[in-house]
Amino acid sequence: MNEKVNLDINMFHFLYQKYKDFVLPLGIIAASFVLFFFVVIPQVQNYIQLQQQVAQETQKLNAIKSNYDILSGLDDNTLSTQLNTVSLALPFSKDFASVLNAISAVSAKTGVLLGDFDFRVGDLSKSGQGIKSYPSLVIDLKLNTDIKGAVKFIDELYKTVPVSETTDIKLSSGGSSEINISFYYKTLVGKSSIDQSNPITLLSQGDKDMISSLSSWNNMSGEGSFPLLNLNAISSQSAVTSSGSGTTPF
Amino acid sequence: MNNDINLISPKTTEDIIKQEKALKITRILAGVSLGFVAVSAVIVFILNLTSPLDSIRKQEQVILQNMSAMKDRASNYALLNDRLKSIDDIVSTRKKYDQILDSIVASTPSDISIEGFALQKEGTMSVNASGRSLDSINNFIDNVVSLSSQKKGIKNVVIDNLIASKDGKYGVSITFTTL
Repeated sequence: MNEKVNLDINMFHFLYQKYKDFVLPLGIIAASFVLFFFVVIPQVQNYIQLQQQVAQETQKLNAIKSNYDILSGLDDNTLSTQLNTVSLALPFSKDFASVLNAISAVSAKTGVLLGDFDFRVGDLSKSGQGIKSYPSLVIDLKLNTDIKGAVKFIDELYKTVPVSETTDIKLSSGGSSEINISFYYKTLVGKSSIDQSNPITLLSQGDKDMISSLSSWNNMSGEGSFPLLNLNAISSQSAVTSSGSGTTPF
Repeated sequence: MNNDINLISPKTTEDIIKQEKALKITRILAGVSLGFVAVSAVIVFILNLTSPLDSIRKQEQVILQNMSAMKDRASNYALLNDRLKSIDDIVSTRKKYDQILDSIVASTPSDISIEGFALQKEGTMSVNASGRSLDSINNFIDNVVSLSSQKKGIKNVVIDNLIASKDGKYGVSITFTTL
């Protein structure tokens, strides 16, 4: 047995003697492989991730820069006027005064006498569910006029703030017509969650045209009165009230 | 037993040359692999070290700090955009009953009087008209059908009834769907 063991040792010794010059280069190759897989590749992966982060951050930086440029170029007075206009067109809450003023203004403009009216308010604790998922304040209105007068009334109502939609119509030539109007509003939500890296876009020509068009609508008053830097006040108030010009015919 | 007996054949010159060649190749491979690993590790390390990420983040912080003074302006501007989008949505999708009624009133012959309009259910309207001339009633029907074919807010025009009364008066009831 001992002789056999001695023979193996001799064999290894012989092989080592024969290939000893190969041991170091092969060891270096093996170490290089280990270093490549455990050091170089993770570093390359890290570099790729870093590049992706750089691309994302660059995009974010560009968006922030663009936002900064846009915001720097805004005029507070113009912004206040524009915000006032759109807030009158789409109030922040159920704005009874504004609705009554709108009806009053249309009545005065068209010469249509108003009969009974009935507000359907719904649950005040809920935002309400109107057409197109916007909450609305619904009013049933009787008009003491002929069909042409009623048509004129509806026509003018569509050019009056707050924005409304006629949802039911019963017009008769007997001098009494009934219409059902939904006045839309939209509650203020998520004002504190503005991400400054979200790209802000300049108002398009269409937006400017709409503001311009809205400002020529009936019942539009209180220009420039929208208080900037006072969003808390807006959300706590029931509405941005508008003061109608006509006397109430009710 | 004699331990000095050598059973392995002695190396020939050719074997020695082969082994030296193999050794040379192995050494070259070792040098190349070590060099490749060392150079690539250094390059990637330098690339990682010189990344502009920190500089970009610093710039972001500076701009955000400047923007914090305009936070309310940004909020108001976002609010303006949101309201405009909503108003546009409502105005563009609300039913244009005003235009439909205008069109029908405008297309009514002078000797025909409209007795009533009614929105029967969502999207369906009916109009009742009367007059003493059957020709004018016919013209009125033609005009309403023409509005439908021109897609001026209505479609699917249906004549519900046409009545001739004893006093020589004609009445027509038309139902149509609003677009």
